[in-house]
Amino acid sequence: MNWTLPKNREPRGNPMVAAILTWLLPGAGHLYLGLPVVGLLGFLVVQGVYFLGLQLSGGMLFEYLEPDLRGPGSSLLSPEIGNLGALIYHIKQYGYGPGWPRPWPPMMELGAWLTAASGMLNICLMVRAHGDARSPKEGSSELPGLARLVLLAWALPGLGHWLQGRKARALVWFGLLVGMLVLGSALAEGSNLSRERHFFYWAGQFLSGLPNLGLQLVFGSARVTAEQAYADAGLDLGCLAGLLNVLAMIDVYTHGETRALERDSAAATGNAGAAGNAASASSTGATHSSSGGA
Amino acid sequence: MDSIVHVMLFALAAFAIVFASATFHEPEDGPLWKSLPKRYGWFCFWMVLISVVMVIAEHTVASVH
Repeated sequence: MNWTLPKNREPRGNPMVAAILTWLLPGAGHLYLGLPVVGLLGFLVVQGVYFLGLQLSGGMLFEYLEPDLRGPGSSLLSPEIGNLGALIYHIKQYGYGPGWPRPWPPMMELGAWLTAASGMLNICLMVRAHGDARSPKEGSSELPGLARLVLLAWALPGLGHWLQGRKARALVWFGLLVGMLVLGSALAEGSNLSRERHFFYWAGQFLSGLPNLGLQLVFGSARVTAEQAYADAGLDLGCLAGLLNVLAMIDVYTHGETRALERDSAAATGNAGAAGNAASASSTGATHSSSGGA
Repeated sequence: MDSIVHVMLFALAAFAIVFASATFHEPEDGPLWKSLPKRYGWFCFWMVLISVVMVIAEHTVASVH
């Protein structure tokens, strides 16, 4: 309990506990914070996306890995790590397959993208739970809304900055990151976009959001029929674009957090000032009435 | 031709890294744009220095021959 805050400005709960609970089970952090509706909605969306992906891919995602790479460590390096509970269920239920190659289901690539997207959605739900935990029990705060900005910053590089009004930065982020992803895909002739071929590099590229999905759906199934001179360079550029988008998302979050805390602080000061004025007015009124009575 | 392509790809990737770094150091746009050329120059200088050290090491202490 923070003794320096008025009771209505106390935070809802411990932000780390809320975030870790959400990591383990989507929505659990919001249940802990006493926000069951947000928790239930978050659970349905995040787990729904994961299980849709699981159905479309037949649970065969980790059969993409070469046999010598199959192990707990390698699956932890996939974007699905953002939804830890579902990832553990996935590995326990489906594992690494029967041990011999099998044909992929028709919607395998989309299914593998959806399970990864569920991990990213749950990270945003963790950001939301962290913000909700720091928000006052009564009154409003802009902290929970940062999760939406982070999600949009992932979905389209630069969009988070644009919505914050930092339009010049937004355009540079968009041009650089999407440009690097497109250039990298052109150099690698689309071979970088296959999760089956580049399981770990794909995880980096996935962080570029929807432009990566669009490129993958259009060019991701291209066959490699000849030697590609710049395939490695293209793969590196695409992966770097995604990894740098994480920095862009962190920049959006920290900028928004600073502004939100300033506004929250101003609101708390305003409330304290208003409460002080009210107390002073009531004591003045009491004095007047007591003098009147005398 | 191959070297030129690789240098240009390095220049692009380096600019993206430097821009990402600068956004964390400069919250305001004006100082951010002004600081970019200097940051970019220093980044390239250190990368070239590291490359030279690696090339020398590959031909001396780290040589397999």
